[in-house]
Amino acid sequence: MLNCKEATRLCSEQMEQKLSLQNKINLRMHLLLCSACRHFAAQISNISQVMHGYSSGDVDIKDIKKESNDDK
Amino acid sequence: MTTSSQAKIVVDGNKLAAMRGQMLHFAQLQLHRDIAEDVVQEALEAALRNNAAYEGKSTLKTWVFAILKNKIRAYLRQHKRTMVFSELSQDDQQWEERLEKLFDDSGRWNPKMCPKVCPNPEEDMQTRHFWQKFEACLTHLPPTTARVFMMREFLDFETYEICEQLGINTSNCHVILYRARVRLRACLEASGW
Repeated sequence: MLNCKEATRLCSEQMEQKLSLQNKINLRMHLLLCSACRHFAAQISNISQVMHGYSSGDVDIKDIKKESNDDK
Repeated sequence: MTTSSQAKIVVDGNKLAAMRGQMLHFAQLQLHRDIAEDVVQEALEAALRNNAAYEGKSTLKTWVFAILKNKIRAYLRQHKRTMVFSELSQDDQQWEERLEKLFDDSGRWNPKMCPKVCPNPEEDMQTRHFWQKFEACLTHLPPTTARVFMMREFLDFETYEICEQLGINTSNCHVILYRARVRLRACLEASGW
């Protein structure tokens, strides 16, 4: 049985390459039982999606810099 | 007579100029300030020069950002920078300390540090507040980690090409990307995602 440390590593690796069947099954089992790792998987996939959106010009980032300077 | 489907779409130079700030902001996350200026300028010129290629299938901004991404990719390919091994190992000790906080001895999440937020990408993407937090977290990553992570997630480089450009092996690359994700999500959650 995977622990969370190993499961999170596989969650990340899965975004780079296909996992071996064994790893895939182990990860799926772990995620079924562990809500923290499910959240982890959702969060890193969200990060990937938003970065992709940002770099594709889908985001209106006009005043990010201006406002963050104002905050200081 | 031309039908509307044949009508030529003209790229408005003023609209392009208005995007310059956002393009520069994006480029400066990844390149040195002066280089970012040059690359954005090149992208804008290329967009104007090749405006016949814009078919209006995507928004103008998406089209221009695709050109910009290509320019940044081309710059990085031309200026390969082999990663010094010490850059990698420098982060190792800090990372071990972090892992000890994140996970207990049996490798389970420490209850205080475990991921609790289930994010909504569509919502995040639209709020400026989110992007401010995001960029702040991104700039907190160790420089090399940030560089690799942006090559992967902003510029869509395949892992093998990142390895090739930086002279690292696949497992190093996976480790760096994993660390980036762990840090970024922790930072985002700590700042209220």
